[in-house]
Amino acid sequence: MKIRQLITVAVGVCLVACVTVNVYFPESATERAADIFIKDVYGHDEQTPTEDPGSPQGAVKFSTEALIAVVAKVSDFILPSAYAQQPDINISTPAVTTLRSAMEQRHRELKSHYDSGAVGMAATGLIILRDPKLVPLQDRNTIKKLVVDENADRNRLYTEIAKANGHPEWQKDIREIFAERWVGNAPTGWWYESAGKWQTK
Amino acid sequence: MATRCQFSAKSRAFTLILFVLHATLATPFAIAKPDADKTPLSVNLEFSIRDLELSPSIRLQGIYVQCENWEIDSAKLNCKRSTVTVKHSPIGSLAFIADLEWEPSKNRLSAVAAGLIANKSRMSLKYTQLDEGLDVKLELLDFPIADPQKYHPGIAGFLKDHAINSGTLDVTVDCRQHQRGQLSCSVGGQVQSFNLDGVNVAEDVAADFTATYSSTGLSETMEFSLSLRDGAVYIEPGFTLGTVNPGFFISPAAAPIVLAARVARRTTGEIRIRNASLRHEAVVDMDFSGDLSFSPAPQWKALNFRLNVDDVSQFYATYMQPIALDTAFNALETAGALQLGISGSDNEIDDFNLRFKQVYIDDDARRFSLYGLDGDIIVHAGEDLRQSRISWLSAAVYNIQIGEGRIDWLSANRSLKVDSWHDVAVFDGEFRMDSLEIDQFSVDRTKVALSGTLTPITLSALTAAFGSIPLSGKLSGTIPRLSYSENRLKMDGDLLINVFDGKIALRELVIDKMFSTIPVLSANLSVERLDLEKLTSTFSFGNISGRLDGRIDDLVLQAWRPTQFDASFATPIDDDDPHRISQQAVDNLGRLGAGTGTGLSQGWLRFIPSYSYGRLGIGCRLEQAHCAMRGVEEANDGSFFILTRGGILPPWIDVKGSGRRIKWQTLVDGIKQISQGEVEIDIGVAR
Repeated sequence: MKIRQLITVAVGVCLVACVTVNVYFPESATERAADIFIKDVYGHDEQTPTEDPGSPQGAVKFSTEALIAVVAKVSDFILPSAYAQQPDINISTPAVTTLRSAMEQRHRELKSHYDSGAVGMAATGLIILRDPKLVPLQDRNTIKKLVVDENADRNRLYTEIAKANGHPEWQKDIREIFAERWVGNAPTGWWYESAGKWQTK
Repeated sequence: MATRCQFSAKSRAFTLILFVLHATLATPFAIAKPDADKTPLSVNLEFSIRDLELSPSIRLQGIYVQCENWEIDSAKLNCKRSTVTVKHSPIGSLAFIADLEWEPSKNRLSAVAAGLIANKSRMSLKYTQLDEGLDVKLELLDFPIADPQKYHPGIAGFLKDHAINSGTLDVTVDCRQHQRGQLSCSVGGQVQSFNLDGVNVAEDVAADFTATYSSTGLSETMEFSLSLRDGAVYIEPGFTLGTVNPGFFISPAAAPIVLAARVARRTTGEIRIRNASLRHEAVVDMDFSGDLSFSPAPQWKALNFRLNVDDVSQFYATYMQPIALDTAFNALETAGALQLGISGSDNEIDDFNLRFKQVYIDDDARRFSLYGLDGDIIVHAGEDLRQSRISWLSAAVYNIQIGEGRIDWLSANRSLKVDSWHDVAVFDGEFRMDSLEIDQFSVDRTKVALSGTLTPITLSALTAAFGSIPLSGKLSGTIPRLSYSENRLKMDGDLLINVFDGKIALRELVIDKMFSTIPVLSANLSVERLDLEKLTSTFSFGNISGRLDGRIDDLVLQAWRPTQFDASFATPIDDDDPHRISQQAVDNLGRLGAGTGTGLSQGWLRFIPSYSYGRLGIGCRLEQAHCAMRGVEEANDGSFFILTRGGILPPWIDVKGSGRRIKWQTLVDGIKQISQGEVEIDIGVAR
């Protein structure tokens, strides 16, 4: 009996003693922030589905999140509040605000090219002039400029959000989440790149 | 005598021709030889070939040849008006009339043929072979060039990812091969309704072309011209600038666009380019000639370049914007004309002359503009000093308006120096330059450095231009060395600004990515003995007398908005000026410190217009879009004093701040509203 009590106490002490404070990349918060940002850019008149029906990972992700939530609750019970609360992702710095404004304005010009399929969303979180034939010759350089400007702003955006939240090393994760959310928030019919292939939503 | 042959052959062309000639001529020659009066022998020759494979890709089927009057004598053989038909060939059915003449003694063979291809295109061929050489002239009219790979599979490799969807070709080829390897060819013709799809695109193009080629034992020379008469092309030459493969959209308007050049290559490896030109009416005229040698290393032994741009706007849109897409110069409104002349030798520029005529440049993103640019920039290699001058009517860098200006240049020994300049107006003041240096002229590496003094500028004009809190008064100062290169503006030394009877010193000013979407400014500022009375009288904050010292450390602006700083402002401890503050100012300080008014305008206190105070001060450390507030003195209850009591007689007042953390934007909005005398604010103090 004594041995069992000792083991119980030892396990308890270990559980309490083995507390490590980790700063995790706040995936959910970033997704929320990305959705807010992207919906602003796309404009409120866009058809913006809440979930990407074309994403093969949608269902898996949901169950993974649910599982993580359950595990987190159990962990919380065992290891009380050992790590920092998941923060909100700051997307209201001057740089991000300036980028959002520029991208909103540019989106009005890009929209018809997304609709036609001339421009598609790459897996890198950037956009690509995927089918120049759909653009009249005299407009080719205009669309090239829009794509160059948009990609420059998107690259800055991912860097700025990471910096604004005190973790420049998150840039890659932020880019990946944005890449997914640009597609997730896009209306049906727009082209996106998945596993190296182009497909429509 | 008639000879009829029937072949079913799959052999190489030359073998077949030899076989046919041998088979048909051996006997007639033998017959003709003993004939003393040399009366020609007349033969009716007729033969057909069912299937003839000239090469794996060239196959002729259903060949029929008929020569009704094949004349043979001891000296020559000729056949006039023979009929040749081919049912299937890579270019369609063929039907033509041919004359053939062969003089073995002179080793002369001539063939003249004319007919139809696919019952539509006309073709004529003249072939003459002599001892001294070969002469071939081919003419094709209205020849279809859609899907040319069907004529020869090798064409597909040449076209790569392109497809010719339609088009017809008229072409004349005239080639002569002389003895000792001398060859000359000329090609001329036109394409009509030419449509090409792919990276490079042509839409309904009509174009004329000529080309000549000649080679001797010592050199090869090629000359060509291409004249685009109608339609439009989009050309991607295949190089990359930044992240872009530039492409040029070119469409002729009233007159054709003509590209031409003459290129000679010597056996020594030297390339000589002459009369390379581009004529685009009302847009650009360009001429180039040069000698390029490759030994011991590639270098321009000589070059001459001349550019005449009649319409900078069209020139920019057609030829410059495509190569500037990944730069800050990718969206310009332009106008005017310019000329450029460059000559050089041994990889060095000997003369450079750039002339502007009423050039206007306006950045769509409103980062810079230049209006009414006129004059020359001359650089030369000689030792004599050459003068040149540019002038402009007005300019702007972001919201800083710059007036008319002029720069005089001096050049010698390939260097360019600023000789003198005209001081420029900046808003309603003037920038008097003590020095101006400009080096390394290029789009992205030009270095500009200047220093000077700024005569008083009305602050209201400055603040209005930047959309900041409106201030009145004047601003003047000394600008130490200010240098710009590679999109970075840097100030060495301190910028001293005389304002409100005090001084503001701007230190370590750097603007990175100056002409990008998000310029980043960093600097430190110190404020010394500003007259608060003058400062507060400029906007409706309420009057305060006294002096103000302060500093802003580690200031960072992104896109011209602050993201970080540590600022504190306070009246100096040793301030001898009277310290009085109006009721309105106290009320507004209260709003800043506690988020609500002080209530001084109610009750009996409203009859007292101003109060004495001890010290006044406020500080803010901006991080993560929030201001960590502090005052001039800490209070016992954890709050801080923005204003402390002063004076001998009551009433005494102090203002305490209770909120330590305030959203920066809320604070800014509040200050703006206060300064404009607008409604009360709720600055959302975190208590």
